[in-house]
Amino acid sequence: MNHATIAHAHEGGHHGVPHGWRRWLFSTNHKDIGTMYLVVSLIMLFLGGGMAMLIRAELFMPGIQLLQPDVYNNLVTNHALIMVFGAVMPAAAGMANWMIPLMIGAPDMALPRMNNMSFWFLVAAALMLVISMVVPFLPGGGTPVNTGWTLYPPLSVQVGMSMDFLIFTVHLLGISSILASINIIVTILNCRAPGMGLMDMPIFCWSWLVTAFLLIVILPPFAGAVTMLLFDRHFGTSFFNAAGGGDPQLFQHLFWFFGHPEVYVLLLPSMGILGHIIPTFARKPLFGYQSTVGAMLAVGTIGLAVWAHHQYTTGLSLAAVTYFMIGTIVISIPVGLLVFNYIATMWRGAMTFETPMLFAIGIILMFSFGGLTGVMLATIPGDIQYHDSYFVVAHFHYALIPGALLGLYAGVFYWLPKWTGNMYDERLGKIFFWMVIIGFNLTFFPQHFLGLAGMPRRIIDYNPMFTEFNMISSIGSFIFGAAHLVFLYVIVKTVRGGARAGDQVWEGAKGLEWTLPSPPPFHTFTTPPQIKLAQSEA
Amino acid sequence: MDGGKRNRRAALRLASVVVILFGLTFAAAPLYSLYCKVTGVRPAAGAVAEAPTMAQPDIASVDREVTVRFDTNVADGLPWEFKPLVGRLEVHPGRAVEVRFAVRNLAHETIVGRAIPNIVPWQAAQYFNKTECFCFREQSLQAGESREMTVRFMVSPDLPDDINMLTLSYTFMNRDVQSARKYARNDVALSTKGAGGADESGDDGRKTILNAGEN
Repeated sequence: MNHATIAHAHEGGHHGVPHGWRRWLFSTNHKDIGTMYLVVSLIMLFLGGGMAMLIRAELFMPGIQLLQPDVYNNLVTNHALIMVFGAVMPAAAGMANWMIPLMIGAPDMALPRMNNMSFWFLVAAALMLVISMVVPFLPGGGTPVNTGWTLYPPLSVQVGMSMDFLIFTVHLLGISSILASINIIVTILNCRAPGMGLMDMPIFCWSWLVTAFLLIVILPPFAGAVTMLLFDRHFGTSFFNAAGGGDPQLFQHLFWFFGHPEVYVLLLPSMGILGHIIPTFARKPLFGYQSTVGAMLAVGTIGLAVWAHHQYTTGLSLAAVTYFMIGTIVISIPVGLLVFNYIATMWRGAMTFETPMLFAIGIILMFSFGGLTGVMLATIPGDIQYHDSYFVVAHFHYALIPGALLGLYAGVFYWLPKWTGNMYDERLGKIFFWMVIIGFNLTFFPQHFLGLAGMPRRIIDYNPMFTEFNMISSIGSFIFGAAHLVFLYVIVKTVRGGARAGDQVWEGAKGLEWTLPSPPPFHTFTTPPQIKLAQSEA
Repeated sequence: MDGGKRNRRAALRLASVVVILFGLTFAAAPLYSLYCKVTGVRPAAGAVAEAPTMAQPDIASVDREVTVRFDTNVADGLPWEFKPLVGRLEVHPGRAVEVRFAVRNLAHETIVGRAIPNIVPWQAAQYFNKTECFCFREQSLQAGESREMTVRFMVSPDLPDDINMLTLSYTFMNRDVQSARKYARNDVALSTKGAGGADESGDDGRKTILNAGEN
């Protein structure tokens, strides 16, 4: 197997497990890199979550108690950037690294050294982001980035040098994600075990194939847009600077050409994970494998062409907004197809309700709710009222927390026994699940009402008439936050020990990864496995 | 080594997609203005119209009056004073109107500025024809110099009935980045206030839309 030779050639000729810090710093092993991705994303989750706790603590009462307005806006900005780029994307990339080679019977990722590079670029980006947050507190540091994650000019042209560090953060993140995406695509296209066609592939691989293509298309324009911002700030160009004839709205188009498909980048890997969990615990093959793949492709393709629904209030022509409205609503068809396929998979299945399955069912319910408010926001007259209100905040948290984050949690519980060889504590897993569900809904459900009543987002203070719902929301967020201490405890406990997990781990699980021991040895599938017909999804 | 070569080739192909898309992003700037020019997405705010069709001045609905408000702003980094000589005007759609704006350079050196117009509500933009305007042209003011500038415009009689009030807003900006940085109000409080100000004008626009609906 040639891939194997290439993958291990640089390890000095010996095939043992490298020891000490070299094992991690120089790692080209997909399992180790996957683990590192997951650890970094967990740290970032707590960093971004801590910011959310500060934001909710400040909003517990009207008035300004804990934070300065600029710092508050900086927290709002960085909470978003850290959660999107630091927590969700690396966690999904970590799972891709761990699972895709195991699922398709490849010895490793196709380009193992590039894999190492994309991981360490992520760490560099995280450090750069921290610098951008610290700089405003130093003398001469200027204002913090207070634009929100959209980084709209003219404000982003005016803020201090922390903006420059943020621009470099975006560059590094972009490089990291693009390299990882290229690697994933090449792995999936070139390294499948003999006999496994694209349409025999596990659905998680399909979800990542679409995601990786999306990333390759959307990240370069985003990197270009922030580079143009950098030029406007320092080199006298006027891409977005109206004084020199530029148009700030061009940035909005470039940003949302990235920003909207990014939502599907966050969503699709988690949907792929559900496509494994639901068949496992319903003990039935996935309903409508082909239409699920088709739906993912459709989401990816249509998702690239609907970005301006974020810009209804900027004065686009009626024809343009009408097109974007229709396009946006059309996306709910393939997304609905995914959801219905998962529900149909459960239909008449022999279901059991372990933690991953509980998450899967919770996700289907709550994500559908986020999708429904999405259709409300997609309609132009509605959006003009809801725009920039807490209704939008409630909507995208309902879409992204179940759609992306909880899907990853489900994946953690589903695969943790495979990764560590130990079963997690089912009782603690269920406690975590219920704390998350109660905390999450308590936090974000009242925000719909706040938004409809007119509370604007991204402002440190609010009208006292919004106090009650904000208090409920803050209390919910503290429950949601505390739940993650349980999460951390479960993970640490499972890594350190617990009941042994067999190869199969879950009774109903199908696929190559379950033919390996738990935890899998350092090198797996150095000789490609024989693919028998009747793969779980085929 | 065949597999390795295949992988490298696939990776390079994907990388070239990345490079091309990155380049296309920069091309978006000229393409975007070209698109706006060709499709006339935002006509009134942009170009100065051709000579007015004065042939039909008296078709103007004499009984209809529309309020036009004039709003002036100076962006951060430009030490100028900028005011309309009249704050608001009742105009008959179809009649040409002339208004004047005063601008003064408060700095001790020559500064070049440039004004960008905007019309609120945006639905009225295509019915607002400027036949003479100081906007988009570079205005050079010597130290302490003041100047009066003229805008001639006509509100089209086709203006929808539900719009009774519109605002013509100008923002003067410093043309030179270095000079803008020199005169920028750097401290935190002011720049935050500047951001708030931008938000307020946005709200103002929304109110205007609502008012127009109610009237």
